[in-house]
Amino acid sequence: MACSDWEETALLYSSGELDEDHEVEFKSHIAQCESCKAFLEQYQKDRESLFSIEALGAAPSEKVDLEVKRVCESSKKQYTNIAVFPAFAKKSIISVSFFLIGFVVIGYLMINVQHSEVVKAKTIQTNDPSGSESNQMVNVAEILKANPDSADSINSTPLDSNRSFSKNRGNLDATGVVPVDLITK
Amino acid sequence: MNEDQKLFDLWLGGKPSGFSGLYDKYKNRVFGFLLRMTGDREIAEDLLQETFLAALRNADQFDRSRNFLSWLFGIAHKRTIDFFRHAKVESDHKEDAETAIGSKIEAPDQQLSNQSLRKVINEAVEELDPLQREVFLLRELGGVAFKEIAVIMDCPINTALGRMRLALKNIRKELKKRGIDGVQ
Ligand SMILES: [Zn+2]
Repeated sequence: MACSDWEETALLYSSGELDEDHEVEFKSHIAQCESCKAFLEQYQKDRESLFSIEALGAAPSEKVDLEVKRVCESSKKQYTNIAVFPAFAKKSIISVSFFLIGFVVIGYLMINVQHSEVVKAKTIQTNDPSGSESNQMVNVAEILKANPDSADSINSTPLDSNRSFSKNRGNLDATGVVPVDLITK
Repeated sequence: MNEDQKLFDLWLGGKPSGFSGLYDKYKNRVFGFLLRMTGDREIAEDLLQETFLAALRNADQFDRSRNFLSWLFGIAHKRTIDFFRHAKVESDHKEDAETAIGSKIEAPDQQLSNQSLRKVINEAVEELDPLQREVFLLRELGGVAFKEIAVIMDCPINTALGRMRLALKNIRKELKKRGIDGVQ
C-alpha cells in the first residue's frame, strides 16, 4: 500500500471510522514510516489549533437569528401537524399491535387451558390415588352390577402394574381408564 | 438520549425552545459552511434560513439513529447545490463576494486569540477546489464521518478521502505561502 493510501487511512483513524484490524495495521505502518507519522501529527495539531469551530465557523447577524426563529415560529402550526401525525400513527400502530398480541396470547392460553383441563382430568384419574381408586370402585361397582360374572376377570386385571408403568413413564396415556376398558371386553 | 435528541423531540413536538436550542448550538457551524461554500454573506444567510426551515419541514423523516448535525449538514449541502444550480453565479460576482468575505467574515463580537491566523486559514480554505473545500468543511465544521460525507456528496468513500487529503495538502501549501510553517 502506498503512503498516500496510508494517509487516507490516517484520516479514517482520526474520524474513528477505522476497524480494529486496520487500526493495528495502520499503527504498525506509522511506527516505521516517518512521512505518514508526520502527516497524522500535523493533521491532529491543525485540528486543535487551526481547524476550530471559532476559526472556520461564522456568526450570522442577529437580524437573521431573529428572522429564522420568527419564520420557524410562524410555521409552527404547519410542522406541528406534520409532527403530530406520525406520533398519532405510531400510537395507533402500538395499540393495534398490543391488541393483536393480546388476541394471540388469549387464544393460546384458552387452547392451553382446554388442553390442560383434559390432561388434568386424565392426570387425576391416573395419579391421584384416592381419585383413581374411587373411580375404579365406581366403575367396578357398576360393572359388577351389570355383569356379576366378570368379577374374576376384574381381580386379574393388571390395574396396579399399569398404574406404576404410567407413573414411571410420566405418560398420561397409560391410565386407570385402561383397565376399565379391559374389563368391559 | 443525548442533548440533541432531547432538543429534537421538543422541536418535533412544536416547542420553540427545542428549535432555538438546536439553532443556537449549530448556527455558526452551518453558517460558516454556507458562507465558505457560496462566498456571499447574504446568500449564506438566506440558505441558513432555508436549511433550518427544510429541517423543520422534514423533521419527521429524520432517522434518529443518525447524528443530527450530519443530517443538518446534508440539508445545507442540498441547499447549496440547489442554489448553484438555479442561480448560476457569475464568476465576477463571485470575485466581488470573495472580496466581501474578507471584510464581513470577522464578526466584531467574536474575540479570537489569533485573529490573523484565523484570517489566513480561511483564505487558504477559499483557495481550495470546491469539492475539496466541501469535504474539508463537512468534516471539520460538521464533524461528519467520511462514510456520511460519501453519502451526502454521492461519491465513493475513497473519493471523499482523496479530496480531504488533497485539501489538507493544499491548505498546508497556502499556509506556507503566507509564512505559516507546519510545526506549531
Ligand atoms: Zn507511509
